[in-house]
Amino acid sequence: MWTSAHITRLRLLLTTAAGLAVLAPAPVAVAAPCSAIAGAVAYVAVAPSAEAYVEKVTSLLRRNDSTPIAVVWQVVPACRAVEVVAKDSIPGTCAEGACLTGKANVWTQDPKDRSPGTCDLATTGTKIDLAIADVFPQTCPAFSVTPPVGILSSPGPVSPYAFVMSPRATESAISAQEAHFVYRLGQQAEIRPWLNSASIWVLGERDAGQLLLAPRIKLPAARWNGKIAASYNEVFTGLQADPIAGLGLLPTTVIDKRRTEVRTLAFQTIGQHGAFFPDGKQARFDKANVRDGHYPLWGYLHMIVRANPSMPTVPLSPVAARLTDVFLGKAMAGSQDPTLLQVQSGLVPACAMHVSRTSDTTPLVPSQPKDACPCFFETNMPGGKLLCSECPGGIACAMGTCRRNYCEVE
Amino acid sequence: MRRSLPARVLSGTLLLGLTVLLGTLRCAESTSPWTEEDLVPQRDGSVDGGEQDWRCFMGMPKVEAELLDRCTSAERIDRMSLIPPKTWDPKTPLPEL
Repeated sequence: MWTSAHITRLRLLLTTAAGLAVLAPAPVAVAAPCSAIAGAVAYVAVAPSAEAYVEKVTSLLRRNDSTPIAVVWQVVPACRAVEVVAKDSIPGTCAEGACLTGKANVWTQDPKDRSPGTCDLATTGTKIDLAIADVFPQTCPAFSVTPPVGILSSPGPVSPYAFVMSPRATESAISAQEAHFVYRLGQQAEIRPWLNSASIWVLGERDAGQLLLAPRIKLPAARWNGKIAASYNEVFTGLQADPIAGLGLLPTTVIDKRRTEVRTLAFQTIGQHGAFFPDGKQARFDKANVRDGHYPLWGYLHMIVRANPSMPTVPLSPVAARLTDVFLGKAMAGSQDPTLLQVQSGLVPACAMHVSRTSDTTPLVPSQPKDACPCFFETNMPGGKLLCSECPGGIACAMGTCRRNYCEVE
Repeated sequence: MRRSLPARVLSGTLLLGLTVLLGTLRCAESTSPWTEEDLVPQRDGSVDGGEQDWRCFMGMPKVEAELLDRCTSAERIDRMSLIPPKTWDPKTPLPEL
């Protein structure tokens, strides 16, 4: 028979057990090996500017596609992404400089999970099917003398870069000549307001921003001085710490999501009369100056895969070929047009550009894409407006050609 | 004193030739794709909103220089260089490294 003494003892026991449970260390979340993922799996190395785009596309491919695929990705500097594929020349084993290790990201199949999970790449290294990098492969230091062989590189959407300072800074522009001396000499250049070498942030010579700017300011990426940042977040923090002199160079795909945290500077390249922002007006998101050639700090997001040795124009891996088509916007992801995801991720689809270039060091030239999509872009960009006619279902346009449900006049 | 007929014909021809030449020059000037000379840059680095005159390219651009300076309504910032003369003389090219 239960007496009050028994009940008191039981209460004490339960309370103690509950207390111990609270005090006990929480189980350590151990990421599963990526190799344990069931079904079709692909591995992608991603430059930081493309992370938001990759997140959107890979979620659709895992959860909403009729041929689902788990894409495992790791964010690395642009040239590291190029290297892991370009140096992967020995079948069956990881050549020096190829493969990735450490934690990687992957979406679960559960739509309730709002952010990707992580898994562990093989400790001996995992081969990478696709690299997404916003530089031409030969721009990277490892391939500047001898171009990589055995790869296919396809340029896709455009990734612009911009100089940033703290929102409390008063400067509004920087010229190529000023940037040359600021990055070469730091505070010794005595260029106001950039008078603190410890606040001139750089991300290293494998960073696309540094490599794309280098030819514009006539300062090789390897000769830059400044404080090395390990991540974009460190640059944001550093700019806050020195609102007067702090200077960084970041992709607009990242800046545009955090505009209240930085002040974007206009850039004046050599020979240009006046400085321009990436966007037509500072507060917009139209990338008008990137698209029409007033603003040259941008790179194509390249899809880089191994080529089939016996058919050098064909990707070695079918899964890499499929992912290339998807990320270029040539194939659907979960029945969605990836070109729209490019716009929503802050990239400029190639079809919305009016200029092109054949390498990261050659001058811009006017161009007219066959599948021009300026109206699609301007309608779907943040704060965009419909400035042309719609043609739902591909109905005939009174003026222009119907593409992606818009009457494009170009 | 009255001039002779050949002299008058010669003067008339010269005048006509000069008129045609001046007309041609004016036509050539008005078809240049570049606008008039730039205004003096603003020291305060102010945004001109694309309304202030500057030497910009009005034609169909073919090369990068024409793209970079094509006339536009985009915001444009025109200010003096911030590089002190002791660091660099802007009349010299940037040092190639």
